[in-house]
Amino acid sequence: MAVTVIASVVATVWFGATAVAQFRSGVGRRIKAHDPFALVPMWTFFAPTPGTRDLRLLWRDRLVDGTLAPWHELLPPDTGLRRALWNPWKRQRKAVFDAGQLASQIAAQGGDDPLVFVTFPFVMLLAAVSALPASPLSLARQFVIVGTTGTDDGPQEPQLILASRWHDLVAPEDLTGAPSNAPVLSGQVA
Amino acid sequence: MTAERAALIMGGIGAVAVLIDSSETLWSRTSLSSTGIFAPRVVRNGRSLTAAMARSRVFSWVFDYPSVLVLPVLQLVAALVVLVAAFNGLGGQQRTAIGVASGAIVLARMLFYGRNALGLDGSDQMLLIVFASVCVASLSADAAPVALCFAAAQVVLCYTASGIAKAISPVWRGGTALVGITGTLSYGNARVSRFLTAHRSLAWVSCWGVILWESSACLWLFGGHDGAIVFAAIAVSFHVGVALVMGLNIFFWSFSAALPSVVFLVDYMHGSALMPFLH
Repeated sequence: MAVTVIASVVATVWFGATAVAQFRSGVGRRIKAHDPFALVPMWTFFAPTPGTRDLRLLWRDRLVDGTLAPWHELLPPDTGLRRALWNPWKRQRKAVFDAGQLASQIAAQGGDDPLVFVTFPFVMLLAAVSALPASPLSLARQFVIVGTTGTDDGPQEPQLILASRWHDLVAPEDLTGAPSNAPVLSGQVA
Repeated sequence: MTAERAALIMGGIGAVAVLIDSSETLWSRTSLSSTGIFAPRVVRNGRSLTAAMARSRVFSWVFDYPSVLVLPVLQLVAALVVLVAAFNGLGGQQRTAIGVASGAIVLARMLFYGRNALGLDGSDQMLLIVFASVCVASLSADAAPVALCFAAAQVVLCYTASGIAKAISPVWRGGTALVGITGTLSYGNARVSRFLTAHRSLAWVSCWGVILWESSACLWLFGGHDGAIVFAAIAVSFHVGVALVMGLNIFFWSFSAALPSVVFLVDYMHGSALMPFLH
């Protein structure tokens, strides 16, 4: 009997919180803000405004002679049919999308405020590109978030959404202490 | 459908979702290491509650690498236990094993979601709901109807909220939403996008089909057992399409796992004294 009562109370609170959260009101946002374990879902998939563009994270290096290396993409989209069964990098791609969207929203609201560049989503993206291997000739690294529509060979031009400043690349030693060839974030905005 | 059988089917299908998802996490484990998008030094500084967890002695291992890999490994083992027990029937020992393993899956997933705040989607949350319900339903026969009705209510709310959100959207009502979504690389398919672009009337019908079917989820509850089965069959077909076109593979398994709770709820309602009043 006690289990049933406890289960009923938990179920009622959980369902009630979920129902309220669907309205994206102040209460709903507060519930989501205090939900570190993602217990309360937003069930409005691809609505009311469906995502009709991709957010892509690109990065490039500035070399010692001042020239710029070509752009590279972190986690390019996987478009194969195999995704229906096996899609191991979807969580990471979604994280890039979520962080890119949050960072660009914060940047749009913050204007020229340099604090934008120390917010969680921005630091997450910066840390991800900073941890990638670099040539010994690379001095600094920059990343951008661009929005694209359709395939890369399509007629639509990519749209620049957010550009980081140049970040110095420093000693090839991982922050965990393990030797690595990957550069790490210097903490200094170039 | 009895509560025991519904919980058994939910656990079995959900276990497949957990097996695939945990295997994918282990496959892409470098993303959890110091050189990945979910690097420990980054995720430790997320929300204030997450940061507090990361500082605590009890939970700090969740944020470290490779210790975080305990979570997907634990889920793999627990999912195998659920699968094996589910195939061995409705005995007391099997139900206890399913209940304990489901509880372990819920705890492991909650910790994983707490670590990686970004990158989650609705299938992750549906799996929490499924296994929380299966856990309670398997360990307590008295509380089983409550747990399954909760899961069913979440399913109905999910489709209804999603349908209404689409119904109020001019993009969905205008029939261009699916053309736009399938036109993306992340959740699209170039062939489907080209087809829908060339056949705008079909794109419009597809948009309205999704709106009407999702919005009417509540009504299917009054269609009896057969109505619930038809609803579940449409939902499974819908998620097959979503998996094929959009690549959302875990959605198929997690939502299919939740659907037996709707059949249970309908049978439960129709067997209760409440039904004449509702009619």
